[in-house]
Amino acid sequence: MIKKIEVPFSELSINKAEALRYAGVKGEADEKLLKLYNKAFELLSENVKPRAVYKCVDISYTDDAVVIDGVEIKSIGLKKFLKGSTGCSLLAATAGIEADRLITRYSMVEPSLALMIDALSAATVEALCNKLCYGCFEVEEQRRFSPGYSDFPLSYQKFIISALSAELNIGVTLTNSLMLAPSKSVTAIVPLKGCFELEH
Amino acid sequence: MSIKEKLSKEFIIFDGAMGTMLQLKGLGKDALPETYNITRPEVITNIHKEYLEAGADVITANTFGANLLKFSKEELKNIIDGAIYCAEKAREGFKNKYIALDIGPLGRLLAPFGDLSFDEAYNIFAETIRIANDRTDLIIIETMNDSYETKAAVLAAKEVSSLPVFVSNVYDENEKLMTGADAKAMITLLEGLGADAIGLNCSLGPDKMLDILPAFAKYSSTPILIMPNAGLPKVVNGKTVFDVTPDDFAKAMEKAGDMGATVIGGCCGTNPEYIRKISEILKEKTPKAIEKKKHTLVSSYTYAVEWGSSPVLIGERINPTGKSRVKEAFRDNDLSFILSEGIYQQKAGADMLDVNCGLPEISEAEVLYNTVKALQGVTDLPLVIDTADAKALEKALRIYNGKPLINSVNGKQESMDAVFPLAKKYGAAVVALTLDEKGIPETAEGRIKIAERIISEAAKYGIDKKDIIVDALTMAISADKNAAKITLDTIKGVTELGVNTVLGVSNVSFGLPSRDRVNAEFFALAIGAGLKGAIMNPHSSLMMNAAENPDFSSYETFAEDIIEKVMNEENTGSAVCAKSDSLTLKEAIENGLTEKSKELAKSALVDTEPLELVKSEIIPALDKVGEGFEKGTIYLPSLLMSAEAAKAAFYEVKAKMNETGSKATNGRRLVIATVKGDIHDIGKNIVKLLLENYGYEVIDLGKDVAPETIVEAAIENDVKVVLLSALMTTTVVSMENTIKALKKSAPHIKTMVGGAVLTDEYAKMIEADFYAKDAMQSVRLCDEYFDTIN
Repeated sequence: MIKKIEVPFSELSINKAEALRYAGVKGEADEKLLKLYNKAFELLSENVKPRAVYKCVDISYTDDAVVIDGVEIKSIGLKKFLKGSTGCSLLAATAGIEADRLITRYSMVEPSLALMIDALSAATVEALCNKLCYGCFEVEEQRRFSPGYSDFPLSYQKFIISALSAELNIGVTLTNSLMLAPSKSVTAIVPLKGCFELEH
Repeated sequence: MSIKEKLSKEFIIFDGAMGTMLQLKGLGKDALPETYNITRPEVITNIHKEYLEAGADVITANTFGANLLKFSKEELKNIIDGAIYCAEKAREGFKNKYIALDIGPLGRLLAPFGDLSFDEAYNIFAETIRIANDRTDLIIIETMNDSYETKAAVLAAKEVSSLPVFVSNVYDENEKLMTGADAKAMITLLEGLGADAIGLNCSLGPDKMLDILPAFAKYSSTPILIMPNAGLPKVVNGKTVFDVTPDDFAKAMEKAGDMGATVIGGCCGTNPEYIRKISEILKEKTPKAIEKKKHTLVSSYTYAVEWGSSPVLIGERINPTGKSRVKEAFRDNDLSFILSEGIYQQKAGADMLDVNCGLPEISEAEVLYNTVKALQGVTDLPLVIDTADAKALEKALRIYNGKPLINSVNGKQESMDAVFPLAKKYGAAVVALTLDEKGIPETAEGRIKIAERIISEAAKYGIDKKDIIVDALTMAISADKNAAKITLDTIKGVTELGVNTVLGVSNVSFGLPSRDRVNAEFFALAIGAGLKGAIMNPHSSLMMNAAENPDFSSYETFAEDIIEKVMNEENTGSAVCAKSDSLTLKEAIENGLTEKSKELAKSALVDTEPLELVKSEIIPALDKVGEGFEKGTIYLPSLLMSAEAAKAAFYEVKAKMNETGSKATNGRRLVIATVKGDIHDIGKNIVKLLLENYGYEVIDLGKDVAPETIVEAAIENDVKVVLLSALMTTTVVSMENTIKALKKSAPHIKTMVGGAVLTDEYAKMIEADFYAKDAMQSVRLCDEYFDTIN
């Protein structure tokens, strides 16, 4: 069964160091940069509604492919990653269109802030995925695999989006060039110990 | 009885879910549900029949996802024909039952945040409706979670078909659409567009939907529709079930009826049993009559602004008249300047933004269209479309995401003939100027008469007076001391007609000193007289203050008094001393202090030549920060902060140079764009900012730009270098295509590429001339290249 969830921004453990790194801060952030970070943080906390949708499905294996929810995927990388799991969660998560709106808006008047919002929005989606991995799926935070990793073709974004009705459920869509829109979104496969119904 | 007649007399019961029923019959998992219209028509017909037998008045043809994004034209025709056939077949033997053509969302996000244009969305909807060719009794547009897509669908339905159009959106727990609109905004938009019933479906269960219904009851003059899910899904014994029973569902729908809903049905999880229960309860009852509401509303894609209480402040700054920098921006197609003006006015407290692009040397229709489109990507303030050109007006109204205000119509027959049909079609409110063929009346009575004439002419088009906002016209009191009183008397008289008023305030002070103060005092009096909105400068603190402090005193002698006051003050005038500061401009830029840099540049320019200031302060600061960035001691956000500060200083330099008629750029021109298929442009914007700081004239074509557009712009502007940005491997292909096209049509133009996935190697592979790993390097490479050819 498809489940959707909205997690308040304030409940996410956002990795500040990671967000700063995304913005190009390679060393220690000075006061000026921390101020910029805080400004971005405040804007996001007032505006974004991080959402996710997920569904647990079965996995089986053939010689050279993985079969997820009845769909055969030829990807050695994915197969290796799944380590024989018999179930997984298909996951789509997003910081929502509000993040894109903020980035576009501040690009016009304060590009440094736009850059920081962009970075922090990416970290927001990461934090949301981590929370789900840890909190709902009971796996390690980083244990997920997305289309585009290794030899797992980007075109499988389509499979995940449509299996989750992500357009209707959380407003995540695909462009013709297989980009996710809103841009601060992620699709992923999270291996589970088995396929069971998750509660949160 | 037609569905429209029934709508005003009885409850209309819709069917329940189609998808849920297909699943129950073991179908729908491995194919698009619409294909069953052809492969299993008997199943579809039977589901319709079950709903009709349960008491549904309307069955929804199985066309929810029938569109050109999912099917070829030929398949689409067969699917729609099949759907209508199934519904008609099911209806045989029943009386007074109706069939709705179902239009669902496209599953794609519209531009600017997605890649589907408004026109493409419109065309896709139009094709489905064209194929159905009015063979149903009505059209229902439903499960829409974006206001813009909803508008595209409604416009298509209205233009292609003559059937009644019902429109339903999906609201979430926060009582908003996925892209942000609240119920009031959607009611405003959809009533404007002339929908026949409006409301909400899917996502929520009946209880939560009842929380949103009061907004509809309060603001909608249009029949209200409600189709909840059967609660929330849960899994019991391996099967998905919904947690609201048919009885509870029906009780909630009875309550919805009491609250004002007249069109009632079910969404996900509902089946004929739910519809039977609703029908049993509601068949005995008569719906509440819908009252005509009197709120004057305009909207953006997230919220509506209501006229009538505290004055609505319309920012006047996006208008070339008398503003040389705005003029220049429109002439040079420098949209980012215009967009910044919009954002700054919002920050200053504007409630709406006036958009006027009237310049003889530009194509107003095109520029207004582009400006409105871009503005609604960066601000959610409702817009005022300000033009006298009917073509430009229609183009802008069409793509506006909300209900705009038109500025303006006037009492001339010609003006009303041109503006009212468009206002009606696109559902806009209108500013009505109290002037006509004979000019501006010199009495309040004369102006009020014109207002009345405009209101009655509007009524002929079905435009209610709540959508007319009368401009009482402000004239200069320096020319005629009686002018202020006439304007204020007009406001009083028009207000008595039950109509809202607006003024462009600043005319009043024309020819006087201390204009801001004269404007503000006049504004306060006008609000006291009943003024409901003004087109004004939100950066003026005196005006903003006046907006909150209406002056209810007599205005009989306002003009005499204020003229005397400001003339006296001017004679005794006080000098303003420039503050001294130990910080230099160079240091301010290095530290990324935008306001400070602007201030310091301004005071330095009093006795320093602009070019000297650029050479001695601005460029050295940028170089120092740039070098720090290259060495890794300064990080990208700090580099950008300095770039912003430098930009602010340049703004002053430019203003100074414009005064003397010299050019502030180095004569080096570039075209920059994010390639086709790519909707990310933050990187491109950063590169542009830095290049502009170094004096380059950068022609920014935006994102998702087709190769031919880039080639055309490069040739037309005679540039030496084109910079291209791409984020993903999937769009590097279009980068390659763009380079190929450029090499073919203009082999002398060099290409520079950058973006997350690019590397030196990759750049060589796609035959780019230069690869810049970051923004700073793109400046260095451009400098080097231009130096070699000069």
